[in-house]
Amino acid sequence: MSVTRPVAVPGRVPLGTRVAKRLTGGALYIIVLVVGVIWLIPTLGLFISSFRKASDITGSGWWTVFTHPAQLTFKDYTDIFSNKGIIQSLWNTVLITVPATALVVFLGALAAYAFAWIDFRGRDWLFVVVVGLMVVPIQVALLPVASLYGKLHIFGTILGVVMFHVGFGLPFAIYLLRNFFAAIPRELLEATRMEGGSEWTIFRKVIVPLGLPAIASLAIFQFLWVWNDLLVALVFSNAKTQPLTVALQSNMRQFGSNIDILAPGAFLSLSVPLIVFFAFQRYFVQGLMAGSVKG
Amino acid sequence: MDDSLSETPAAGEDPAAGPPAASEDLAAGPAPAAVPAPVPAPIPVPASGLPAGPHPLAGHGGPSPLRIPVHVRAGFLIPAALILLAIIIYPAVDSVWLSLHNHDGSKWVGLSNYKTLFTDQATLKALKNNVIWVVCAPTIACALGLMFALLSEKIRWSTAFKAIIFMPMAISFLAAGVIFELVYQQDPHQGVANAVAVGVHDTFAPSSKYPGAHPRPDHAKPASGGSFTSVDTYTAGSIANVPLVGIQAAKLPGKAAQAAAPAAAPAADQIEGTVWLDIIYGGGGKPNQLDPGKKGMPGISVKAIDTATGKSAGSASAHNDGTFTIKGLKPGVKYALEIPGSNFAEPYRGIQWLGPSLVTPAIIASYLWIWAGFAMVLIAAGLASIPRELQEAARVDGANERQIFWRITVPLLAPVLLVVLVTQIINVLKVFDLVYVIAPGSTLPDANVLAVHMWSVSFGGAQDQGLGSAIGVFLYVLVLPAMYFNIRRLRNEKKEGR
Amino acid sequence: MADVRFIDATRVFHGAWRPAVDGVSIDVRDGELLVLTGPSGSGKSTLLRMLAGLEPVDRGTVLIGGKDVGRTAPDKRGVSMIFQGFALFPNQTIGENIALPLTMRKSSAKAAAARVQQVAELCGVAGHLNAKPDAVGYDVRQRTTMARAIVRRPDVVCLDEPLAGSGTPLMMRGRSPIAALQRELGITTLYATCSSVDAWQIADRIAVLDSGRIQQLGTPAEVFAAPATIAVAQFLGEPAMNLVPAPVTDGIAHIGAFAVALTPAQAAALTGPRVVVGVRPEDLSIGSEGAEGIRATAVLVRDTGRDYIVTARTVVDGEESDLVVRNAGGPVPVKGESVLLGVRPGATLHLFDAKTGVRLPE
Repeated sequence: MSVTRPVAVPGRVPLGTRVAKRLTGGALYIIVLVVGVIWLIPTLGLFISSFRKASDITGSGWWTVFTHPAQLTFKDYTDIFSNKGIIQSLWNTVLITVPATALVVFLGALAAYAFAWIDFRGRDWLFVVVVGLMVVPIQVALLPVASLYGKLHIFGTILGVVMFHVGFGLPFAIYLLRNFFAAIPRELLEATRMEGGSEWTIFRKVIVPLGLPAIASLAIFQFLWVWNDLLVALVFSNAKTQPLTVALQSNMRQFGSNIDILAPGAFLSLSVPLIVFFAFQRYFVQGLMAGSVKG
Repeated sequence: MDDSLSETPAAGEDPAAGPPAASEDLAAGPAPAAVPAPVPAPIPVPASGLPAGPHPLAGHGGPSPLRIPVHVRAGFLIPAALILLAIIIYPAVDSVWLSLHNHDGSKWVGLSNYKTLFTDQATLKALKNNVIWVVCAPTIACALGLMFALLSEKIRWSTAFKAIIFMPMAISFLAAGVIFELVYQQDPHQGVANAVAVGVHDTFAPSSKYPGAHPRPDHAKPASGGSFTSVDTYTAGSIANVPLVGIQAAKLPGKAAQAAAPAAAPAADQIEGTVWLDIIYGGGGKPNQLDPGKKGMPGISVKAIDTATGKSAGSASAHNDGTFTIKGLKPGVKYALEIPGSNFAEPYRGIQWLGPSLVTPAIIASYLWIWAGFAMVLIAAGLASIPRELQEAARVDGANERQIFWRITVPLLAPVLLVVLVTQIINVLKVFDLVYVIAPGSTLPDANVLAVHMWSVSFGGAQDQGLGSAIGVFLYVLVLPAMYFNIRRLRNEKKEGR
Repeated sequence: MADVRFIDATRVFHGAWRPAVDGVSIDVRDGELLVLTGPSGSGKSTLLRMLAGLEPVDRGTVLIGGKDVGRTAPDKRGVSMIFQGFALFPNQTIGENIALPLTMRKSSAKAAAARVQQVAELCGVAGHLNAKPDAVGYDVRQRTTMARAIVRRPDVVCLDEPLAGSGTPLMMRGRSPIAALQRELGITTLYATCSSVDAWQIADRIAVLDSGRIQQLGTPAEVFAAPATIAVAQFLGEPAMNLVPAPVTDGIAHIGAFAVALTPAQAAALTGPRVVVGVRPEDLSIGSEGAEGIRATAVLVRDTGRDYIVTARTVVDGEESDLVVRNAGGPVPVKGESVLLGVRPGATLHLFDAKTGVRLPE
């Protein structure tokens, strides 16, 4: 019936177009690859440098290890793990980060529950205030809080650093958690209330378990902020209570000579957040979406 | 706040509550089922159709068993409220007060700190840099984020790509500072940025093979641009010897061979000659002699300059044994030989990233490295929420990809882009750690921003509480529009949703 | 077990200009299943929540077993509630969900487990006690929420549109587990639903609410036979009653060529010059040519085999009006066909005051 005619098979894309398409596809992958490499190289450089002797770091680029793998050594790490100052500051970082995170999550969740589910006069206005507080720069509070701490004799203490972090973490915490808590079905709260559940019971038995994803997001964010903070600790801690970031920063003034402390120290300082980040990436992204207004 | 909490649980109790007499006829015993309920009164509708204000009972709040006791409500709110009051609200107000006083807060100085803020050179520089930051960083972060989001939409292993771009978000500014301090090291053998810069530079403008080499002073005089011009002049058909010194024999390229005199006599329109390193490795030989052991300098270029006009008449490049032949010369004309400076140029040393002029852009680049991932994730989510049908409908209607992007994707993405932009602006206004950590002490004044300046003024030696507070208050004023933006967004969300 | 009485119960929400529940008085007998129905926003949910203690009573009284519960905490009222969407905790197992009322009351673990097992068997979910609500089907979730409601032996169960939005509005029909359990246990039950079909199927009595007020209270048959207001007439019955406005002159209402004579009582009760005449689709017939009737055009014909429904368009008093006829008998008209509509002999005509919407007395 039908005669085969010398025309292109329908649906078949002309060769030229196909080649062009494949090329742009290839170009796309090359761009992506280049961008990825650019984004990885800085961290890779630090990572490799932390496994080289100071003399090697100042003498040649970290990439020379690819041709001279013998340069790799754990000496820098064994050194900083026996460096009392660095170990103390690492411990301080933990002592600051853990309570600052726990307190923000706990107090923020309490307040967020009130904003979401307890009726009180002026609630909406207060919430607007909280949202407004989210963007207040910490610079505006540094001096007055410093003098307040001076009067309370907590300047230079870990408690002081923690409280400052809690204060500036709370607005975001309340904002993020309130929005999530408010989305919990009212019926679940009322089902508990019907059985005589107090507000505290509802908070513990309903809000916290069901709000766990948001609480996890918040905890991760707050953990990263506090762990990574430099400015607050720079102002409010002293030589005994300073966290890792401040200890490393004071070594930075002489970059070349202290690189054997800086490189492994910096890598130590970023490895914990990095582990947290990769372990909880989902919550991290969720939190980012939910509260992308925090400054 | 106090106002709302001081309500007593029974405050709303209606004293008149109780079974009103009007309901007697209904409540009289169990109603017989067979009799239909009495006909109800018609539903009252306000005559105007508009509510005449809240009902008298509205908001009275009956004696509810659910009324949450004040101490419970307070228990949820008070701890957070107290901390916010002590750490943010009171200090923010106190800062304003401090900013109107002198350095130790002992004397009222009015607005003079704010005057300093806008006249002092160091502060102005910080302000100017902040402007550069605010203009550049958020927009570029947005653009990069959009680009990466679009890229990641089209590739298969986008999760890995996104994770790599996003990863720096988890890294502290201090660690990022150390990382970029390494990247920006001046020595191209240490800093990857300069290693790349030198690599690229040398690909397009190869560096000379003989840095520092030069003729003996009695043979040639230096000319502009590091060039040398021979003292002697030559005519076409003659031979010119060019012995050079000033570098080690070991630094010659491997292909350099024993220097030799030209094999044949030059033609009438040529000048022939030899360029060699007039030093024997290990010593020996006489100056200006083509002794055994002396090597030619391949690649050196030699120009013949017409001494009358000063113009170049021809050039040649030396072979492995150092010989060269300049062709196409006119007989009878006197030529001087010039060895261009490019033969001896020092190697390219890379870019001074953290020098006074580039320090701010360099730090902004490291900021982008951290925050592009943030923009990417938000924009990617925005892209994913755009209904596919819209783009497909446009495609069916014959729109091309570019039209779809600019007419559909970008407008629908605008709210997300705005959020990213505002967030970034808030961030950038307060940028401290990166600048403080990366900028070396010598160029810190050139990289200064308000947040860093505030720190140095208040805590870093000057101890000027007044000016420090003024800068803090000024930063606060700068973020007020962002605050307004956020609150308005909150209001809109409330209107739409819950 | 207990009876429930609302006396002039009123609730006004914060800032509202009219009450959500407005002077409602109902007696619910012990063991009765009362269906509260009406359009959404009519106050039926609020009424239940007032009974359960989730909303305060702004005026009036709520009595359970003769006791004023206005100040009693929700858990002390002996009322349990089944919420819209069932309100099961996604993070707890079916067993834990059922046990919630017991654990909240700090019953001993042993007694609680035994009671949960007993109730679960009664409701037919004993095989799912360790599953999470998301992992079981709709029917099991429905039975679970019922089990949770009865596990603490309540006097009264309130169901607040438990099936709304589920896409299966007929789940409350006679054979549904909730209805069956209610019959078996004889618990006083108040059931709020938007669906009039639900109301027919299971109710001992129906209370129709609109704008926070009781429009009518009675058995399904009573309400169907004599809807007290236009709103009730529109709400109950599928398809709904035909309602045609008609002017009244000298005690006679005129619909086109039709004339309906008002009784003296009706004429006396009428407050305006017009009535609304209601006639059920079942009570209309399609007459043969030549008979007396209303000329109309069939615009929609739905024939399901078991019965057929014709929507016929006619002009009454210069206004287009659609009348619905169900199972008129005889040949099914085709779309576009001209038909002659009549009223079956012996059919009830419902007369309402056009101004107030209230039914005129017989």
